[in-house]
Amino acid sequence: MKKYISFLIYICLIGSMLAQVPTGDLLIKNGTVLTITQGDLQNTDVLIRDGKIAQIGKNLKTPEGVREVDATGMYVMPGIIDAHSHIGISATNESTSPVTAEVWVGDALDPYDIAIYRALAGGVTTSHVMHGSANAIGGQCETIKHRWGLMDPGQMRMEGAPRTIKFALGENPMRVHGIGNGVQPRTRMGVEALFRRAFAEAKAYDEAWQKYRTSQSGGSKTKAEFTPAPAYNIRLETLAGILRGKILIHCHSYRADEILMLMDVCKDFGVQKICFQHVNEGFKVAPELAAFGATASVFSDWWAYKFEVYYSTAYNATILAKNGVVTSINSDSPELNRHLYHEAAKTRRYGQLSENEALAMITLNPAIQLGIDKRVGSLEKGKEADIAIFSAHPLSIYAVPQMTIVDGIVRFDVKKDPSDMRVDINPEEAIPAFQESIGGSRQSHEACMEGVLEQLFLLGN
Amino acid sequence: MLTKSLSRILLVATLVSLWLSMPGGIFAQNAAELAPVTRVLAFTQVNVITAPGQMIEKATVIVRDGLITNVGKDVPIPADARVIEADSLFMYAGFIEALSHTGVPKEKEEQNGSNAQGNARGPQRGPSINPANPPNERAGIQPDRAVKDMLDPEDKSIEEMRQLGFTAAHIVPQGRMLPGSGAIILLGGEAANDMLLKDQSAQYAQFAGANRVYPATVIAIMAKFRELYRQAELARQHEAAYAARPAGMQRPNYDPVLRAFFPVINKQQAIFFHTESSLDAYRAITLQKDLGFPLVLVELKTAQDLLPAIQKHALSVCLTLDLPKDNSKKEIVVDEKLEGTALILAKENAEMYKRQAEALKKHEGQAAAVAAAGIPFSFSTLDMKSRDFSANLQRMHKAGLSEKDLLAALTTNPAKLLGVDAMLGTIEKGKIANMVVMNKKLLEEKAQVRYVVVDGKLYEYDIKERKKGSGGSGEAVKAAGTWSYFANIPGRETEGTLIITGEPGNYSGTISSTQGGGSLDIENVVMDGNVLSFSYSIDGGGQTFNITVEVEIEGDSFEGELTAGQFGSFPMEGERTGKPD
Repeated sequence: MKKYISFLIYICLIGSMLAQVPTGDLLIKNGTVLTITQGDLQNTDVLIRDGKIAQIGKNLKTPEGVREVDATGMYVMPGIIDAHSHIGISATNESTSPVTAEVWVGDALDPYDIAIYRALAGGVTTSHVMHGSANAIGGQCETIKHRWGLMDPGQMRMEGAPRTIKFALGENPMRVHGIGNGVQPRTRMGVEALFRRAFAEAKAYDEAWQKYRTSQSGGSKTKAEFTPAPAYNIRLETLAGILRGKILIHCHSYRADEILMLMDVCKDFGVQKICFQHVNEGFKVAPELAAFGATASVFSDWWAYKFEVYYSTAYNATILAKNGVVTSINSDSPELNRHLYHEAAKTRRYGQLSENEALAMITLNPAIQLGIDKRVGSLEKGKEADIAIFSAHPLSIYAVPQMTIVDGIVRFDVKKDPSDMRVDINPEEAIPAFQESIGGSRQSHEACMEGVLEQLFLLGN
Repeated sequence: MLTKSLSRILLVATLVSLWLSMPGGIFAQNAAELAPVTRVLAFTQVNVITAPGQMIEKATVIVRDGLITNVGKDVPIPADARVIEADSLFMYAGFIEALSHTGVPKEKEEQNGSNAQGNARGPQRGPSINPANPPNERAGIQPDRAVKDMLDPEDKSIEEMRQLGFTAAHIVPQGRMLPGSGAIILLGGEAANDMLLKDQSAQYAQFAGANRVYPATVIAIMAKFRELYRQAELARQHEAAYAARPAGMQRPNYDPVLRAFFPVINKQQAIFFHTESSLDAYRAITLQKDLGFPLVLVELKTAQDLLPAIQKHALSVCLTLDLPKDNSKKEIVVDEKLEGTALILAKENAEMYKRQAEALKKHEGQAAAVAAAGIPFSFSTLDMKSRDFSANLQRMHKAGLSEKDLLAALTTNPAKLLGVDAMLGTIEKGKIANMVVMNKKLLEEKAQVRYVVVDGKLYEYDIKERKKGSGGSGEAVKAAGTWSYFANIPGRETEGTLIITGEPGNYSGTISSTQGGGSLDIENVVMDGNVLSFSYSIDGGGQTFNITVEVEIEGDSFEGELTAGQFGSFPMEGERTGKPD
């Protein structure tokens, strides 16, 4: 017990003093290992040291003090990555302005959201937690790891993952700002104009600061001269980060014409990295997406929930993939994310993708889209030990997640899964655990508009 | 003989004047207060807790012209002193609110619609304000305001806190993200300036979004805070350079909002950040790490989750004196005769109530846990209802907080935190005469305040039996009747009628609004003492919103709060317009 406590203290110290996160050691014995990048390996062990995969092979020796997990008859795969989610944050939409590049959901992480634990129960180890789609240029997103049980929001962050930002096309920004507030964009044309203006302003801003910085550090070192700095603007500063390729765009999109429009805008401003989210008409412009180098993150078989997304197909993912577009399947929902392996399996039915191609849709491909594929998304020596263990092949309808591991630490174990796993309980009100969730009762397509409904309520209509 | 009758006359005179100035006294507002005959007080035979953990029994304390001039056993009593025989009473240094809104009236300018702030985009959604770029007062960005300009010496909260033993307060304006700078005041005085001990004490910040305009959410507040701070740093550099060598240099803009940050950047002022939840606290710490300002976390509720961060960053903390209501159920016994789903549900319910009770214990045990970690703390009272004060102290004490640590959090720690420990916090010669005298020790049952001294001025209180509304007692405050109410929800000020029928213990009723929507049944109508609470739900486009109301009834008027879930709490008041039929 004493050892255990000092271990806990040790973990706390590491966590807070060095801004690191706890990692663990583990040996997963004798499973069927679905590596994604190096084929399926029968009766194989995976050794984890300090949160990283140290070795994959047969009959590995158990190092002293390392816990063994018997995976005989089970399937071991990379932890699932959800490229579009809104779990684990206290605010989704700053819907007061059509451009809010400066806001960042990483500032509002909520490690106490029970949806994180529920995602673990579906084998999901990483979520791309996004700003909502109320604004044409929404806020920055955050890639989190599901380190359930840690109390410091900063420890949810996947440190070092590239910055990303949410854009949105079409009806959502038009409705909220055009109809709701009587400002641009009222139409799809307005959305494009807004992008172009924002980028143009950011370019001018960046140039002004460049010039200022050069003048400060450059040749003329006459100290007495003080030049006032250009006005600091955190919004333009962020937009300039997009132009410099430091922030990846993830854009809420449906219609093919708008998808082409945004690629044109990006071309004009030299922006190369973009992932289209939802992209239900992506199948119509798959070659163009591939040529641009854009990626796509889609629903498996869901559309017709609003006018602009009336037209789609369950073959969308397959068509995109077969055209050379790196494609992932996402949830955008704290319910759907618990069975993303079912969603991936649908590509076997609609388009006959291989098992490996199907699983890549929820592992390696989203990792590529988030710029974290060197660290996670497949089971390889040296990668981070984010692993899901299933009772059967994960594309089988009979598969049940058994254990989910993040950084070598077991964060979900079906054998130790009490009815109430919350870490933050309301002392005044008895709320059943199953009811407690942020946006959990919402329809999935509304998650993107979280926070906007409340605004409408206060408007009194 | 002469002196005895003289002192008797004096006593009567004092009692009369006290009665006149009692809260609720009928002449209280009109009676001109007489100047005290003497400004010298001598408390005799009093048990003086000079500092937390230090007591002198049966001592004498002399107060002259607002200062403590002598404390000890064999202290001569000056001839001009008014003697207060305080045998077996206990004297503590006056309590200090480390952060509160005491004496700062709630802002009501949005109420009558005459101010552009509230109605700019009211229910009719007028087009006058672009929500992306609202004026600063609408956005809640007002660090250039000073609370001293809002202080109202007549505000009843001052007397409410004083009669609990509070004698000084660090006050800040009400508002949203950046409500303004604070001041340290003494809780007694005729005019605001008399009460002021220190102006420009700190900046106050909250994660309170603006109403339907930028910044509305916590993510926008974080971004806006960073932007303002960095802009202020640049503005300060520019001003400094311009002051040194103006010729040939572009003149700096005069921006009062950015200038308000200068003392913070210079580390002369701290930012007191309202961070009730651990998440809010972590967010404030994130800003502090990014920008480097002195930070005080305020109104913490469960600091147990933060201890490593508080220690690592050597932060100052103020814990809330508010505690959640104890709604927990008694021991739940699962009926083992149940079967199947019913049994599973019963077990889950039992577990849920158990966890709820644990959560309550966590709140009650916060102060003890912070003390055990060796972190000095003060108490902030932004959310505390004055009627809960002594009960909450008891609950924290029962949860393990020692009397010494508790007293330090009420006296010496806030004095130090606020930089006024040379003037306040202990009963020592030379300090400002702020003290409270109780009939028993602070944490003993039925301990009550007898005297409070603020700045050398004496306030006397009678020992009263607490009135507590009970079932059918004739004296209980009755809620039944027809009430007109006003709820100050910014941008959606609501008026209407509340009808309560039935008898104590069995109330029911309806609520309606002049804005339509028909009349809705209210539920859980409970009277506790003079506090009326009830709840109702409204249907907002397919979603149900639960509203709870808690108001204090005084005669035929009430005042309190309406809480609309995650949208926050809003002031509500009402008048009884009709008796029950």
